[in-house]
Amino acid sequence: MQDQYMENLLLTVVLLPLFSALVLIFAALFSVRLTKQMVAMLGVGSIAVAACCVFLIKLHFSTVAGASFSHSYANWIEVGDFKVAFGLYLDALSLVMISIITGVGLLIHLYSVGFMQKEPDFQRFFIYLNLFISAMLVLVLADNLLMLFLGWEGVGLCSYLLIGFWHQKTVNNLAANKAFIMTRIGDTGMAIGLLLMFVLLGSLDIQQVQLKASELWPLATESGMSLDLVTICCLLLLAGAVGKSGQLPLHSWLPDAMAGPTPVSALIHAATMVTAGVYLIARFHPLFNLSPLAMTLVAVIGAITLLIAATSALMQNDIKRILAYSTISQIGYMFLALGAGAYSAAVFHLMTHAFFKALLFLAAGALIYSMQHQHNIFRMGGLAKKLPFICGCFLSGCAALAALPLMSGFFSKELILEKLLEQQMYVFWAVAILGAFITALYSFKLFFVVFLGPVQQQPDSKLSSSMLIPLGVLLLLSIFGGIQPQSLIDIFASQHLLETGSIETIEIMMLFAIAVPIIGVITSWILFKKQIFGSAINSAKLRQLHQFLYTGWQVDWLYNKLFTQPFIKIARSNQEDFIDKFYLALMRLSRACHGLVNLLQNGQLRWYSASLVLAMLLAFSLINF
Amino acid sequence: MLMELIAILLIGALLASISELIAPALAKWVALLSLLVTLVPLYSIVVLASNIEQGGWIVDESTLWISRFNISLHLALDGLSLLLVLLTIFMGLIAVLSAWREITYRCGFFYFNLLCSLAGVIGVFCALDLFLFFVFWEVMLVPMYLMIAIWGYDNRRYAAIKFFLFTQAGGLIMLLSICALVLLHYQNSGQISFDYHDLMLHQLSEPAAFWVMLGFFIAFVIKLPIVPFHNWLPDAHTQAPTAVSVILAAILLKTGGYGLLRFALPMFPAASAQIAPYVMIIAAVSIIYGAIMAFSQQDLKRLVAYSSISHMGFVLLGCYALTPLAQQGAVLQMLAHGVSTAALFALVGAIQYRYHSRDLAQLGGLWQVIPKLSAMLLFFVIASLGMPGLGNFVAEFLVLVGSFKVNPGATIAATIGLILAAIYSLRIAQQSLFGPLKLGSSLDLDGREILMMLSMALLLIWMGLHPQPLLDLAQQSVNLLPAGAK
Repeated sequence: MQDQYMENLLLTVVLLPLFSALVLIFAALFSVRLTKQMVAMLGVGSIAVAACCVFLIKLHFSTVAGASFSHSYANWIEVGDFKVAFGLYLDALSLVMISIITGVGLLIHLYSVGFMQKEPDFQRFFIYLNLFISAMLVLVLADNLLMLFLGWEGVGLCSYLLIGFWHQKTVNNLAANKAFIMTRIGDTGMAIGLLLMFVLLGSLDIQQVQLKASELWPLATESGMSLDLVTICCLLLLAGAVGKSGQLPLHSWLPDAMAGPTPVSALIHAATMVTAGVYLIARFHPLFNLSPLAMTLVAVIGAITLLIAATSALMQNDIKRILAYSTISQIGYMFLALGAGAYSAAVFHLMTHAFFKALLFLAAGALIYSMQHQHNIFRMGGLAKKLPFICGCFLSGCAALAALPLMSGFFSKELILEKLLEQQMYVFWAVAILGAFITALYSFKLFFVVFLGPVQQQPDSKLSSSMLIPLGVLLLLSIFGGIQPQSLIDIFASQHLLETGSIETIEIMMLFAIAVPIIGVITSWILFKKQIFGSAINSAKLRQLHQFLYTGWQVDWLYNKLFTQPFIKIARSNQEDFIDKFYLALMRLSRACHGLVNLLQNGQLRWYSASLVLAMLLAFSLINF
Repeated sequence: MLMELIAILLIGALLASISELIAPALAKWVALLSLLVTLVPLYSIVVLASNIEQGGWIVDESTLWISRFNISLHLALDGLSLLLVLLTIFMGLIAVLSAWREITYRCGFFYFNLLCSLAGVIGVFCALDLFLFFVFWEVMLVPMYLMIAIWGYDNRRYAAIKFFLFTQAGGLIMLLSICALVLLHYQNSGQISFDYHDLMLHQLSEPAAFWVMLGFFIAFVIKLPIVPFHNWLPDAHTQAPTAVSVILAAILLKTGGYGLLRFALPMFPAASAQIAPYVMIIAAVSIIYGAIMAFSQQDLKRLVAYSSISHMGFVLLGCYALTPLAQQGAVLQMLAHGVSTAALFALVGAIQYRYHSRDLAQLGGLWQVIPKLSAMLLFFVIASLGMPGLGNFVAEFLVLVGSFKVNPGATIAATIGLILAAIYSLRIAQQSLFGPLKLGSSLDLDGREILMMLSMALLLIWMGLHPQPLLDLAQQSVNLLPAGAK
């Protein structure tokens, strides 16, 4: 009875957003006119009901550590030993994820009603948004890899559609294409991983795969830093995670993805989809635990990405690009935590990041909305008095992002740093501390430049209540949301812990870690007072450095030279299909032969009689000899 | 039942051509009606199929035709044939609907050719006598040639002749192979027979089997088509009218895949296994080459044609992986590709009908004026890039899973094709649908077109989410095929 209840609830959660999207699609296709209110009711209402269902699930879900619930609803594909079903799997990890997706998703849907009010394509926006929520829920609830892949590609598709939502501008479409193709590269790696895992382990069920893997490949010993099969599987999964989560080397699509409407950036490119990679690795943590090499690589990718993205964020002028780079950088922290084996810390940071980054993006959206689509922070200033509520949102969002004490981001980031120390990964710890300093620097640079200083441009529009309520809720969440769900600690509890260093040094280093963001904020204040931000750079070398960081370490330029241009060149050079040349040559040859033979038949009697005589002579001579 | 099926189409063809004398507009109604009438025998076949538990022939009919050479009208149908016959009738309906407005010149003769070629295709899918098979192979070819040559676009003569020569060359090689096979069988058993079962029982010796198999293989591979025998396809597609493109992409290419699964593989298991590794590499090359070529095209129809080549590479890969998983994937790929690519051609035709252009450089911003058509085009573009939840993904994934164990290298190369598919597919969407509007406004999809597109879209979703009935049907036939080479 209890199970039946859960089954139905879970199914409702997944199908409800899909259903509302389908209703809206068919209404559009058959030219049924819906008012914006009806669209909003349907679009937001479905998510609201889904969120309520998640709440009910939470109440009913067993609180016993390591509890899980799974149910297979229908058969999908069954060919010989290849069996895949539509099954959902719920445990503490996916519960946290669906709470974030439906909760933050609901707030952002509500916000969108106000934000997109003037948009003529209101209905299409909610179709995409609802489809996205549905796909994302499939992703985190899937009990097998193929279904996970279904959700994985589904969110990618919705991300593509929403980045290019304002499709009249070519720039937006190019950004959408870039996002889809770059993540597709990672996804293809993941697809190969799926093939490999099925061939090696004979199943695509996520739990079974990991069970069989740990039987088949016992934990590698000290010399286990080799490229064995389990490492290859992990690396292929990692390729997918890296693409989706905007980590090095597939990160450069994310800043461009800001071309989409701001609620989309908040929902997809900050709170949910981009953290799918973190979810994937956390979901497969038993597999990753078997491969020290893959784990180290995850940590290295996280560390490098967080530094590159943080330094790039420091130099941006566009408020959304600053936030985009900071998202990449924060996900870098999550990867670092995953690589250190601190899965619960990573998912915890995922959660708090979802709160404060959604807040920052939505507040940025409200800011842009009331500043006549101004994105450049240096064109703003002194807005603290004009827009006190938005200022408050930004203050708490930036404080959480910078991990100032007692904000939600503080608890999760400190936990990551602590785990790094426990694992004696001192170099990574130093990188993380440096990153924390830069994070504090750029987040408060953003805050100071926009809200203090001289007034540059007057805000005009008033915000509707459907935009204010979500901001308020997220504001509270990013201040007080720093409570780690106990269930998370439990499911990742079976970690092997190395012996920790002496407690005292750790305490001192932790105090240092708490101080660093504060130092960052103070530095930022000093730089702001001396008016260094946004001022012209005199030295040529510094200008070059600025340009280098501004373009995100010139990764786009590099990829363009390395991959895009050669590919286009190769494709263009063979536009006519060289194989066709062979057949054309064949055609010409047969035409030429035809021409030659045609010469013989010229209609002149002289020629015919002469050739007749010649042929006779030839024939006789052949017979005689 | 199968005879009736073919007879209905042939009689419909005659009636359509006569009806032109009464009223030109009548022909399309006659064509539509005769296709709908075929649903009657088809329905009883499906009922039969659902009653049969074990694999085997659902319908098997035979009458002696030319007794001197022991040639009979042997038509039979198993799961694989049934799937393809269903596809043929469905796509025939779509083709008639997409020609509805476009064809105004000599309607009667057009629909005569259309129905004749459909009859030929159904014959190909059902014939179990090799001579009969060859006859049907030609029957489907000649009307196609005429339709391209008469109703095509500017350069139609060249394209039609190219199409004819390529396929005819393949047909000739196949005829040689059939004759050789029959003669060898005659030498061995003293009895002339063109029957599939008789010839199947007789296993040829080593060198002979290889050469005879090669003849069949080349004929079918030209039809698929596979690089380097593909050059007829882009030209034929660009010059053909929309309805012919639909039939060509949806059904005619599938005769190649069908031929491989029905004849080349089961009749010559050893020889096929021998060449399988090389064929898989050719398939991977074809997938990648087709995709890169698709990316470089400016003409939308040409682009879709090259993408067809890329997708059909998966069929070849699946067939020659010689595992049941991959072969079922190949069957599903034939169906899914048939639907998705036909829909793309129909939509490109609809754009061409409205704007008289299919040049990507001239199109742009169509979503702003014809959102329904654009949304549909986007849907099928996404289907063709292999989005999970739609038929093409299930098919390609099954092919890849089934091939991976056998030949990881070729399979990984084929997987790269998925990235390239995304690149050229998104290029279609970006350059035609999005960006600033370059052309004027036009009418959006009408009821007839929405019906066509929606039925194809739902079919693809069904294939993607519940492919099991199709896979079960295909399983009957695939399980008869030889297992992988040891």
